[in-house]
Amino acid sequence: MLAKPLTPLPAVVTGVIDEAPLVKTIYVALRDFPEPAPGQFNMVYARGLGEVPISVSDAFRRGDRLVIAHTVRSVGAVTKHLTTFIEVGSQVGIRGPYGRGWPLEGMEGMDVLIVGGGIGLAPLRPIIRYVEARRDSFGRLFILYGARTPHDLIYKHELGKYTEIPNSVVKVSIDKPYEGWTGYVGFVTDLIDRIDLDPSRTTAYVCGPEVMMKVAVRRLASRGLKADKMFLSLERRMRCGMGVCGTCQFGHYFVCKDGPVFSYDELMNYLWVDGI
Amino acid sequence: MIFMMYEGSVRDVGKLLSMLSSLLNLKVVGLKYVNKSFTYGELGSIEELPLSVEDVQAPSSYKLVEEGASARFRHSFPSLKYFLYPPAQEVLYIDKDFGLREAKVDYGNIALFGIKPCDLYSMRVLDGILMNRDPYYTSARSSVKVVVVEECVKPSNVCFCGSVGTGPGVSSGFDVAFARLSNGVVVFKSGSSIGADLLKRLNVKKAGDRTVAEYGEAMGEALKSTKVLPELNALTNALEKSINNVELWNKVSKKCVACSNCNMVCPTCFCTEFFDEAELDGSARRLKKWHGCLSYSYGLVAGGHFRPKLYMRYRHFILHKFLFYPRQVGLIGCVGCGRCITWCPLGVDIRETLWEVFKSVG
Repeated sequence: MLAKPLTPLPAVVTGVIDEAPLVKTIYVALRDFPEPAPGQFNMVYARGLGEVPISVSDAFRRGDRLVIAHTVRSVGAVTKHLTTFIEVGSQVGIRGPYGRGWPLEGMEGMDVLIVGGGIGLAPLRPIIRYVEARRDSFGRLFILYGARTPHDLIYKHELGKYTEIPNSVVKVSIDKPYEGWTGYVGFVTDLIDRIDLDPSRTTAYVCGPEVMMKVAVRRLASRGLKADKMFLSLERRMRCGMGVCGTCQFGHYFVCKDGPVFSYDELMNYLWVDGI
Repeated sequence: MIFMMYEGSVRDVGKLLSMLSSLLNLKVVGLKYVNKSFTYGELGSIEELPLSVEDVQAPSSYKLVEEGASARFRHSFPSLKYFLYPPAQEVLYIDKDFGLREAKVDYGNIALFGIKPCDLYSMRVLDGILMNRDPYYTSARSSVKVVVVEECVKPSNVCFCGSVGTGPGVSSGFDVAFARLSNGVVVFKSGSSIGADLLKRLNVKKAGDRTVAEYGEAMGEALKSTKVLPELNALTNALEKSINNVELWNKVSKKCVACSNCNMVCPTCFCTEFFDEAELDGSARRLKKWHGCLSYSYGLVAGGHFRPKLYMRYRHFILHKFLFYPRQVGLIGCVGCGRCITWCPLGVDIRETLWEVFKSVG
């Protein structure tokens, strides 16, 4: 057990990127903080308001400090504060990293299929970084990403660069026609049927609204992917991040410590039960 | 070492209590009944224990009657978690310059005294979830050095510990257990080397054959009276099969008003909410407070709700106890104390719910 498991580490904000309407990426620099694995999250604390679980969307070393990116959408009190009042130099608190991330070790040689919806691309981005850094160890890299409108796409500044990763296929969709948009129009899950998938050698990593992930699971299954080769990152009400507050329970799982990433195999009995 | 059975009187219970503080230098903590109200705290003497009142319990009803020496008290709304995992705690103070001060708890060395088998079991369940994870529980729990259990010779109308295997007697996980038989004889059992040593020093005599027989009869009757649920394996199978039976869960939860009393009185409910209290000078206190799965805000997040319907939250309460706890900590999560039945303002009865579920699968 950590000496002070509920005490956040004060962190200085070093960068803020306006990603999309209501969405910002906040970079914080920390000393003596464990390196997060792809798919893990931190509890981000705004003093006087509270903590929110936010996926790590990027992490890199700068000198003796670890810089961690959290992509935040303004939906509640804390996230509104983070996206409105927090600027470079502001202080926030960080606890983490928490949870079980994406399984990547042991997946060498496999094709990597990423399916992201909206801000769901945030926890998936570290996979792209991971595969890019070990490009020869993995097979093809598919990145399927969709948002409601072109404005709602996050990481716009680097989406175009993903195609430069060798042996990669990048497809981006928006939900409804939009002036000037020449890409695919429809749900991101439609794109699953539009790629040359080899189910026997593909691992799928999915994150987005739960309804979108359910559709993705069905589509992937219809393409022949096995349940233990599909991974989903779930979202729940979370307060502690370490399996004691109980509010993130999903069936018998604590999403914070047993997840947030689960194989579909593990979720099969619960995912289709409303409000479990 | 063979754990022995002894017999004595209520006076010996009192002596045992003082030995724990005088001999072992422990703070003796139990459910105190002082000025007609219950609270967990340090016991000065056995006079502070509810030994001469009896709780008359029924769905949505709790009465205390003064019965004198024949009274058999089982429990009131505060379970052991009131002491080990208090309803509200400050965890952090953050000053205006973002200086952080973690709240400290120090319980000293403690003997739990007179706790019931159901509550003893709840401690094992909570250990599985919180021990070495939650710093406050870990600290409180680690301070418990000795446990003295009172076995339930006469369970209440809402008790069903025998159905879930948590009582009314104990066979392990304690240091000393005692049972007050109806004839005034008190039976003592040791369950550890500390307990064996304490009973040796207490100078009580080995239980005679007649006392052992009477104890066996009383505990046998007690066990029988609490076996009121369907057989557990069949019950958990039925629960498993009915997860998606929305009609059934709507039916069994239709009296529920989502007040969350059941969560508050349940000895194994541990869900907590963390929140900030901001001060005008820019500092803040971070608190944690119990949160129950029956309340509307359980599963509520900005922008959505993961358990918007009441049946979903009631179902979680039931499934967590019987299906999910076994997968989470390897133990059944319902201790059969019946507090949720008594303290439900609408008298929602978990025993009826479980029978409904059981019958629904035929």
